[in-house]
Amino acid sequence: MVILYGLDTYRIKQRTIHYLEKSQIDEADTQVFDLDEWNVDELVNASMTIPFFSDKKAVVGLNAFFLAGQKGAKDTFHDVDYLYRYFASPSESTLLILQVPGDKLSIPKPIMALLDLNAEVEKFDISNKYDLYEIARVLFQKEQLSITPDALEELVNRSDESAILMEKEIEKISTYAMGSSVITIDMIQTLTPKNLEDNVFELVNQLVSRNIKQGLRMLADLSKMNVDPTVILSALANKFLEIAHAKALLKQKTSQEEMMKYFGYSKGRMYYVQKNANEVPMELLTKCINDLEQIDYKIKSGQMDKKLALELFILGL
Amino acid sequence: MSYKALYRTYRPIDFHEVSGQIHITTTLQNALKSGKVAHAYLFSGPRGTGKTSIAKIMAKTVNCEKAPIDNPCNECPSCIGIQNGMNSDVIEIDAASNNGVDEIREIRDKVKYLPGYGKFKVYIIDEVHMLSTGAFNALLKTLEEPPSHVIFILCTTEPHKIPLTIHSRCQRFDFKAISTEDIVEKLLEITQKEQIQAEEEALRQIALFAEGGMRDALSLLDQALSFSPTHIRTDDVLQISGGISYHKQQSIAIAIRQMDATKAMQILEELLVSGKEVPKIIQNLIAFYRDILIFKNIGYTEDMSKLLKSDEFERLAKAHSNKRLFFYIDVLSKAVNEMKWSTNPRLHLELALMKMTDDEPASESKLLAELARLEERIEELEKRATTSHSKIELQPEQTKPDVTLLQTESKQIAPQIDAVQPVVEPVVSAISHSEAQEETLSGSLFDDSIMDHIQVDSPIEMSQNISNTYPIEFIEEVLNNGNRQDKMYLQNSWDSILKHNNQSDVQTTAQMMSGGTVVASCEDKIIVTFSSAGICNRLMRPHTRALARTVLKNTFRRDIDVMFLPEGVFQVSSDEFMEKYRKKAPRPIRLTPITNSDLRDVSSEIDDTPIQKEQKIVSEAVRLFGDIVSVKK
Repeated sequence: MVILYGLDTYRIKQRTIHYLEKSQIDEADTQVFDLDEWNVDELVNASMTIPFFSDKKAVVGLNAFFLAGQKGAKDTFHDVDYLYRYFASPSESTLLILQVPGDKLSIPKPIMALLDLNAEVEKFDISNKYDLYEIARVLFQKEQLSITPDALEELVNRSDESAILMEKEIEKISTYAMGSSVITIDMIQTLTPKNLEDNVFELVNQLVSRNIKQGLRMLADLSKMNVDPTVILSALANKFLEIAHAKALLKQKTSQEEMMKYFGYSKGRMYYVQKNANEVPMELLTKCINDLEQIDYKIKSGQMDKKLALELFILGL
Repeated sequence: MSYKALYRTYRPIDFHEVSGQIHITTTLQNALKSGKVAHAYLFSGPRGTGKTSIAKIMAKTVNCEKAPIDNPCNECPSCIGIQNGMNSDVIEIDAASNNGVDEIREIRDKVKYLPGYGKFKVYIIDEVHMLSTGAFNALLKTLEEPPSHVIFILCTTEPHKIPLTIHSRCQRFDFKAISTEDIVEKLLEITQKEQIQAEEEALRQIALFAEGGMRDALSLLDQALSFSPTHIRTDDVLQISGGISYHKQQSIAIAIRQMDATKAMQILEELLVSGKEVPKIIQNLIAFYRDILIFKNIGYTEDMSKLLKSDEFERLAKAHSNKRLFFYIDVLSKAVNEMKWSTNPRLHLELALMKMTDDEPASESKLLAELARLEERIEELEKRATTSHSKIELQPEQTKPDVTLLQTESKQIAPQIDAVQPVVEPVVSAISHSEAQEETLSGSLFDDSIMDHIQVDSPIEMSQNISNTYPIEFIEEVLNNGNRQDKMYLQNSWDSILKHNNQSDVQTTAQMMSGGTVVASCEDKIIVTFSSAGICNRLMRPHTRALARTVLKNTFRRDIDVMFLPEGVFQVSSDEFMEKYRKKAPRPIRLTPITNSDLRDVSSEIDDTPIQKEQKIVSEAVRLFGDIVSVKK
């Protein structure tokens, strides 16, 4: 028996696959129960039945929220005692894997003692950014591809700190790169999409460094994605406010770690916020925020075309 | 057979026919070749960029009888069936109208059934962003672990509206807007196949209007074709799109630039007669000025019309200032706005044109320029005036107040002199006491200091002493021009003054000075503080101060003037300075004079040479009259 718990669903999934592969159980002998939809007694019953024409079978239980003391889906009723009784005398021919998406197990002590004896309990905390680099490297190695450092950095930045998302991207990139052996930053840039916040973030970076041409191009890209200019506008205002905020925090000699916590940003992003806060004068920030406010009013009172107003703002910087 | 719209006829049927999107077709073809087809795809991008087309091609390829291949054969029954929408294994759903949980539930229930003809069931969900939250959640479960015979292809124009949980379960492809070149190429190909005669410029114009969407381009071509079946000209294209031709825009802009209202109105009349609508004309004009503005500031961009690449346009861009362009756009935007509430939109356009051709903004800016120049001249005059002013008037004015001061205050001063006397004596004795221990300081100095105190009853000296212990100007100057780095440097190497000054004449002074702390520096002047006022009074006497300067010169190899202050006094002044600085007081910041009963103005206590007296007078003049004082020697 295996119980995998923690908030890092990606690694829990990987670990499940690892166990299934290790025990060499055929896919046909694997039963999966999503405990958001099935009651746990079905899972226990399945575990207790002997495998069909093979030596071993596997039963995987997903979303076992009840083991973390949380409430699952509404229309399920889990007879936990039934499961505990199974824990006491598990079937030898069944590999039971339970995935618990919570950071703490709430299982009574005597049951825990039981599990210590005949089960493997593993915890998976949410990964930090460093792990993403590692995951990417391992995955690319599996595909026999190498990646340049800048491309790797770009990929991690665009993956939104989600290992699952990154895995999908890597899958895609390696199919694209079939035939070549090195992943370059160009490939990442053409293939991996950026999310809106990243885009606006970059846009602000271009604007404060007065890179108007690049700024306009990015704005055009954003509007091609059908992002509403008012959304961009408020995101822009937010970013400028953020820089002003960072400026104030820097004045108070706040450390980088504290600021990262304050904004909830990764190190790479914090670097730019801090750099902007150091370099951009307060006057420019207030001017930008004031201008954006004016534009916002003009757009919302119908005095100006949304897109044009934003373009004029950038040109008027 | 009934007519089939061009965009339907020329919908790409295999990967080779897809324009642009090479990064996507390569990836997909690689995946198909190697059998690494993912179970869920998310296609996002602007309309008319090939999302649904590629989704269909994918569906054909995976189910083609010749699979695994990287391109559908379009010959086998499967391919033909899917092409005609007859194959029940390929399910196209428009999420815009099937956006509820129930519809998605239905999909989920049917997903588990095996495909009827081919190997895969392909679900193509268009406009997937229209799904409700509940529907998304229902879809999520299926997307996560779909049966191996199912492929989901989600298409959307607005990827940011898709929940992240869906994103992370799909391979996402961002479709890019098709470049104008690619569209023109495709249009040329189609016109050749359809044997349509078309000007290349007209096709280019169509491509521009399409803004990266192939479907828009083909619809426009269709429209143009029905407008003039034999030969498509640029003007036709402009006619059907309702836009005004570039040349007309340009000529109107030129007329406006030349302030030629008659010409501008004439062109407007022509446009209106040819059936253009007022709002469209204004929109076009705004876009035109925007293009000029962008060209002027950053040069050509991809989204700008190739038509604009002309000398005339560049000349126009050069002729307009940014300010003027902003003004034009502003006027036009306002006109657009007012038009909405008006029954006569034409009037507003005409008004806008008048406003733009009116000389007013130019004259206004001319006025502004004139004003700026005048201001400059006044400033210059002022500068010149102050210098000559001080030259001529300083002498009489300087003596006058002293005299009046003397007259008015002499009465008040008289009793104060008596009051000062007892204070002086203990100080003198204290000094004499300390001096007795320091042999280096000669007795003559001692005598002088006494002499000086005796001379205190000189009314002029007193009048200055009342309000002024030490000159505040020195502190003002140092603080206003403060140099932190230099201060740090001096602080750190302050102890070395003893090492550099071991000659007998300066040793004592150096020793006394070494007990102080450098608190401010403006490179040629510094302030040193001591804990007690006595030592300051001692060091501030001209002779000692001169020695102090020598000490500093010996140590730091440059001329440094120095003032010695008690810590408390400096603290008060620097606090005041900081506060005024923060409140953005006019620079240079002025401070209130020092008031401290322990300090005495000792600058004239000994060897009151005429020069020093004058310095005293000057500093007093500066204090009274501020900046306008300049000293001529």
